[in-house]
Amino acid sequence: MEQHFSEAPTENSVPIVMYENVSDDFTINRQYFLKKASTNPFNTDLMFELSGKSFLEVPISRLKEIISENIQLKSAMAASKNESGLNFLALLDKEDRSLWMDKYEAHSFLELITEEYINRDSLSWLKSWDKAVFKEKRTPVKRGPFMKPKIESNEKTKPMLLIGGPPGCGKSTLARVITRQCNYQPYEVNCALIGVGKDLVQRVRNVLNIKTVTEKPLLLILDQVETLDKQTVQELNAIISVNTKRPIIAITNDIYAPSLKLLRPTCKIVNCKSLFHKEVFERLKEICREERVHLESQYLNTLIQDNNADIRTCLNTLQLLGSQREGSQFNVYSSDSDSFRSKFVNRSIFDIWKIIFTQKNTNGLRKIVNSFGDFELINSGIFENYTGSKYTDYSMDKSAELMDSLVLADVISQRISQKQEFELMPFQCMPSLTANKICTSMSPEIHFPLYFKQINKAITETTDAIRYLENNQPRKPEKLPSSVACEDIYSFITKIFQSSSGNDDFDYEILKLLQDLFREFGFEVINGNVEPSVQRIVRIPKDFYISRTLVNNFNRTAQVTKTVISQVKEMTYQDFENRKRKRESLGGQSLAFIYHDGLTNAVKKKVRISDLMKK
Amino acid sequence: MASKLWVDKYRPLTVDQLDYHSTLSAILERLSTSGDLPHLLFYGPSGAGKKTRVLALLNGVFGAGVNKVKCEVRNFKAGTVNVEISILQSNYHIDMTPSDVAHRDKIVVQQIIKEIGSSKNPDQRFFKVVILNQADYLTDEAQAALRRTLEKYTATTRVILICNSLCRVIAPLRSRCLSIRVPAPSADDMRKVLRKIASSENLELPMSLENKLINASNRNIRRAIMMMQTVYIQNSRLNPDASVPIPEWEKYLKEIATNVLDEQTPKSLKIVRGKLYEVLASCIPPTTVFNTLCKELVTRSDAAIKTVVVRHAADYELQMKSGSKPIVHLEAFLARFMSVYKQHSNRMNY
Repeated sequence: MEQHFSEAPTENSVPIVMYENVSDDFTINRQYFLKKASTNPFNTDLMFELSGKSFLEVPISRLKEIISENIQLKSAMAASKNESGLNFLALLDKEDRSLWMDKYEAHSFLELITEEYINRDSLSWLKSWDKAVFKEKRTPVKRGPFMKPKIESNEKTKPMLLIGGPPGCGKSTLARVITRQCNYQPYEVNCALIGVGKDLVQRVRNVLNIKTVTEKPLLLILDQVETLDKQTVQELNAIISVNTKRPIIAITNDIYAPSLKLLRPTCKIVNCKSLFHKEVFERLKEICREERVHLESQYLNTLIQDNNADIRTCLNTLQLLGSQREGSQFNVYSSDSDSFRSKFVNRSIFDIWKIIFTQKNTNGLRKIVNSFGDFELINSGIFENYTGSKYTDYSMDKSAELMDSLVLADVISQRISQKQEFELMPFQCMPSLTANKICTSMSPEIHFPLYFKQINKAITETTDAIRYLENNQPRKPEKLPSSVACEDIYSFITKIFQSSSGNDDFDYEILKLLQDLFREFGFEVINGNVEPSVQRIVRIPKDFYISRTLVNNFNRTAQVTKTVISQVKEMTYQDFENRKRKRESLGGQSLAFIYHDGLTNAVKKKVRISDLMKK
Repeated sequence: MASKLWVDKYRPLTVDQLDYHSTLSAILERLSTSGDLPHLLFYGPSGAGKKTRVLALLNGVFGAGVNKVKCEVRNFKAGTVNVEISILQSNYHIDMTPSDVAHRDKIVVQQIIKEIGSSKNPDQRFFKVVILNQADYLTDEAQAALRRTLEKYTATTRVILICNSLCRVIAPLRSRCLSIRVPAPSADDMRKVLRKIASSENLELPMSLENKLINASNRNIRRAIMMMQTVYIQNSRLNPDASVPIPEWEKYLKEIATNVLDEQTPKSLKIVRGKLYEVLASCIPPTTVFNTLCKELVTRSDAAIKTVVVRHAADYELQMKSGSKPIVHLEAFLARFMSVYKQHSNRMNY
């Protein structure tokens, strides 16, 4: 049998995986022996026939026959096309009504362009269900001589397959293909379209319990499971964990979605990554050839890159372009390249700044910036980072131009927010374009803009401190607006209260004046610190120290007043406590000293003989 | 308690105590004795004595009760948001700065005037006075609202607007008020005031220091008095050789000008930005920053580019008024100046 697949790999061959049961673990033998099954519309029926029978059942000799038949058919078609081109065009038009993404969907395992190990993994999982589903109905003999995936199910097979991955990476196709491959009938349910969770649970139950009336058993494919709510997921989990009858496949964009937390441990998880550019490129190239769309490789590449290898979007874009054609040939020129860029993946703000500062003459920059939308953020990022980017500017013209455009953007944004003139919005991308024009390809170190926030915060802090100070001030007949006060009065605080160079001894008179001024400005000394701190009001000389003598002196006087007050308070408190007791003790025939009776500072004291004798 | 700050201590309280602008004082005197007031609009540079004259006028009209003020914080509802503003209030007048609440000033102005207008006055006087500081910083909406309110409550309220520049007060408002210009004091006026204060403090004011103070203060009498007191505190007397204390922010702006003139590169712009941050963060209004910087740069640059620089400064300042981020406009001006300066010096070298 060796000679069947010992052919050297050629360009048009695809890998076929063969399981060989050597000892405990099966090694995977990869052989290249099949010419890639074409997706030409004329031989799809043939391929259907193949997949209907389950591809793996067909002996290799039969496969070879089919391929040679195919080739003959193709050449026959080509010949007929030459004879009657009209007929062919009509056929093409009819075909065009279906979406290319449906038309060129992979129909067999071999056509899948998802990564091989993922395909294999999923297939082997589904195969492991054979025992439970088909039981004795199937004989292993039927299954071709060399494909015997005798997987010893030591562990219990997981009840559900969870396929995750970004959109357009072929998850649904993978699910459909392996379902058909293993001779099931796919039954697709889109979870997002089912409003009530109960409906879904009911449906799942029905499918699992249904007796196979038709030849093929049903296999449930749940699309977009991450949209289900928590309760439904719980119920679903309960069902599938006891389910031993049918496998289920679930598809999601994000396997780590919080709603799927419960499902993850019970499922077999397969995580698709976005497709390889090369694979997508080849497939698209093939389709283009089939559809007679001529597209330069360069543009095809940009298309794939822009769409992040999302094959569905690529196909849709291609079909859109193809539908505009006149005649049977269609050429895409560079001028049309912009129309590819209809869909952009989300770029992070740092990417955009990087593009602005590094990529010279980016054509679609305006579109990129506009599609991001947050001009304010982009522009403040430019404002803060342009000085870091290394560009030669001998005459300072470039910087001035950039700043001018930033000024314009600021004026426009203010106008939009005040007068709702949203038609001015597009002009806000001006700074991006100017920055792109002047900056070199050297990548600056981009940091997130905080300058405006910081400055606003600092101003608020200062105004708060001033307000606090002014509330402390004794009332004056005039109150200056805070900006004027900062300009003319507070800016001298540092000069007035600064400890004059090393000499901390003031004249008595000056010290007294300073103390009065200190109080008049509204400053307080709390625990040896000046409140509010002078630096919060006058920020500029950073190394400013308020005269220690002044603070200490002020501190002392303040403390004295404080202690006096506290003593007085204590005494009155004691008075209240003792009053009753005293009154009682004063009872009887004793003599009492009464002062200010009935007033708050009244004194009533028992007089002893000794008190009178003291003098 | 008498204030220890000379600025407050020696403030003239009545019209006849005013030191300079005698013709203006005569007009105010006549106004105060007439017992009634029109709406007034005082304008003139900062530190010229506008507010002092307003209070002296009110003192003449209502008597000394005007000086008994209390400070309170008022809340106004603007839709769902609460607007907070602190006002000074006596029995006869209310003093406030509506521009403190930025774009919500319209509500504050309207509410306050409405409130006063619809309540009876305690005295036999039939009107109360509302002083609005910084009227030129009022938004257009607030000014438009004020225009209607002024007419509606004329029977019970008089409004006194105080501003630096007339050009930002809308014309309808100007026509409804009697405009009174208070020019900055001349050097002789300032000399007179400073000498008077010094002699009341029993101090000797040397001629050299006096001249220095007058030069450094930019004809701003408030600043001149503050400087004099600072000199006194630092030296325990009015030392003729003492250096005049210049406000820190002004020093900083001078440094910025030096940076800009020394090196015209994006790098130096970055350094300048850090310094501007400090100045703006200590609540120095961007307009002042613009003026000071422009003056500094113009005096220190070549005659050929002076007009260009001034024109650019005016352009950028105007744009700043309609923008929201002053720092961008300041930096744009400096960048433009660098460009102009560099091109000029290149031309001179060839």
